[in-house]
Amino acid sequence: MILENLLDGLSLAISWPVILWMAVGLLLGIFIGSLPGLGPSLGMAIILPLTIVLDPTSAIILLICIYSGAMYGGSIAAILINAPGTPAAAATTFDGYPMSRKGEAITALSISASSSAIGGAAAMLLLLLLVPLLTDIVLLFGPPEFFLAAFAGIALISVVSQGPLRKGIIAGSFGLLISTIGISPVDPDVRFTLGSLSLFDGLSFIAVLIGLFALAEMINLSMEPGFISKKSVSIQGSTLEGIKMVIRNPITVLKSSFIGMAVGAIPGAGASIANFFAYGEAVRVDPDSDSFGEGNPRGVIAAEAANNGCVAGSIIPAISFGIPGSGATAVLIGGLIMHGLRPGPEMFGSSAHITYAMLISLLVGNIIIVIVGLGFITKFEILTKIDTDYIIPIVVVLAMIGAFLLRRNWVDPGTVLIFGIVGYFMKVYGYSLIAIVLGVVLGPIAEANLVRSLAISGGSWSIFFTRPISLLLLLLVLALLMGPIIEMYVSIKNRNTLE
Amino acid sequence: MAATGVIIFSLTVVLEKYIPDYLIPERDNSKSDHSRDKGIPTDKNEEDEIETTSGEEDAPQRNARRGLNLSIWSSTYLLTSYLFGFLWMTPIFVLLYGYLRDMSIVEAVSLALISVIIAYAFMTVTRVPIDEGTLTTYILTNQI
Repeated sequence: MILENLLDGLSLAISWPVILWMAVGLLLGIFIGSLPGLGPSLGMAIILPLTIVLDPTSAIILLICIYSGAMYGGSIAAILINAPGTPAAAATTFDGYPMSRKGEAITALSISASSSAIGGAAAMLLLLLLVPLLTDIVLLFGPPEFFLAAFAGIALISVVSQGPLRKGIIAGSFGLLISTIGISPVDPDVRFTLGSLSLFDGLSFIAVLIGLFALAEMINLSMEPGFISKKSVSIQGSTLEGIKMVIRNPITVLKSSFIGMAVGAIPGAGASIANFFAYGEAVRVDPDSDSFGEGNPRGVIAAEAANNGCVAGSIIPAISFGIPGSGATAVLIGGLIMHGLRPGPEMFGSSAHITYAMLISLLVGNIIIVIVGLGFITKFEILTKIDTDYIIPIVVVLAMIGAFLLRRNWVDPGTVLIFGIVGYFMKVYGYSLIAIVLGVVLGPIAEANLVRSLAISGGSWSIFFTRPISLLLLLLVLALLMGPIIEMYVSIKNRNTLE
Repeated sequence: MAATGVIIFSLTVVLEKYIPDYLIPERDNSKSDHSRDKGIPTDKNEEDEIETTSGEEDAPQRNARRGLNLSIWSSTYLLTSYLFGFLWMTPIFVLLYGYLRDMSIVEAVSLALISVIIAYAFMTVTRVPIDEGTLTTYILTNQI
């Protein structure tokens, strides 16, 4: 059965036009990722409505390839102008930019392309091997487990909210509130529609994501000065030397890739943490650790292998339980739902061929990353010269028209506008965007599975602690909820001791 | 429960000054930090503005106004598209945006052309009538 699904996935991934969308996704991702200020979630959010006309496999592969491409693309600006294209490439600047300044920009870029591709491919191979195990785990899940998994995802707000926890809870609760607008998923109750028929179906969470990730980012970007880089970048170095460097350091590549994958699999951790984590580990084990930060190629290898490895990891909670670990995976879940695919057992059952096709595309896509990364290495300077003023109106147009296409009503573009402005102010005042996304995405899943679980148990709450997996998840939720309280208690105690 | 969470925790943010320190160990500095980065006028930035009394407009203020302008233009774009249709309002929005950002005519027109191509492609591929707005449909159906 697994082999059959794998072969189906393989033939689907290399069929026409799926392979075309894979290439388009990767190129778009590299382009978007290379522009500081635009990240994979923005690129995926504005492209998502356009995928309406595609078949589910092509659409999902297009989206996931944008994600993978952007992870690599982020390193271009990080190396050439010391401005990471995405937060996931932040650690790449530490050694990539010094290499560039030493006249080794081409070497650094070829290291980045090779380690991204090898790291991404290694993590994806491991994920392919893990799919049968994941399938077994996911098939053990019933409504109570999915409720608790979604609840654990919501409780992750305590971990993912950067800044004060209170603000994370406000953002998450606000997301939950938004998800309750419209007809209840389990009974005919109508909630918060203000009597408007247009709101009976609720707010489209895809429109919310487009607003939060695309329009809010454009408002943010419009405040930056136009040109990304006015300085001329010296493109020198050796492509071959870069490739050799990666081949000479297989342990760093593989270890960083698996670190990226493991960190990426933790919802909320994200590629930026994976990037720093792998970089830190490379520094720790290197005998020449003092040279890190001054242009050590192993710094670029570790950072880049980790962020591409992270893509494989972040897919795990997204397709298995519908828990978005980052903005990009939230949009991916949006894409799955929009195309009639439900994260969970279905992705390993009737839609397993699509899951395999997606993973194989990412595996094959790494070849495109190498070809583009090494083939156009001397042309990347152009990407650092693009005026953001050209991008902003086009993204606004794509976001608005794209949102209108979602359900052909005016509520969705309105949602984009409102959440664009709200998202911008949330960023300014330190409210976590991923917390609101967790609330919006997981609210309906939690609600529907809670009601189903209670229906199965005849209204008894014991269903949540009499099943082994439920009990484990319940303990996880408690740990997540109690963690910040214990942390607060310890910090108060420490402060009192010091005084 | 969600509404209660929003209300209670919002109150802790609004009334932060009046809540004892031991109840909020994680006092928030995020606003000022981010604002400094992005040019949002904060108390500190405002102080700087008073000190720099050059004839030119301050960069942070100008940048904040750019963000406000984009929000206003996006709202106007949406409202006019609702009335007249996305297809017609898209190039006008892009041209006006280019004019506001001091783009050359060639740049603004090129961008407007790209945006029209995008909008037209959307319309033909998805067969969604984005050339129709509420007002234009009303006028056409009532033959005014």
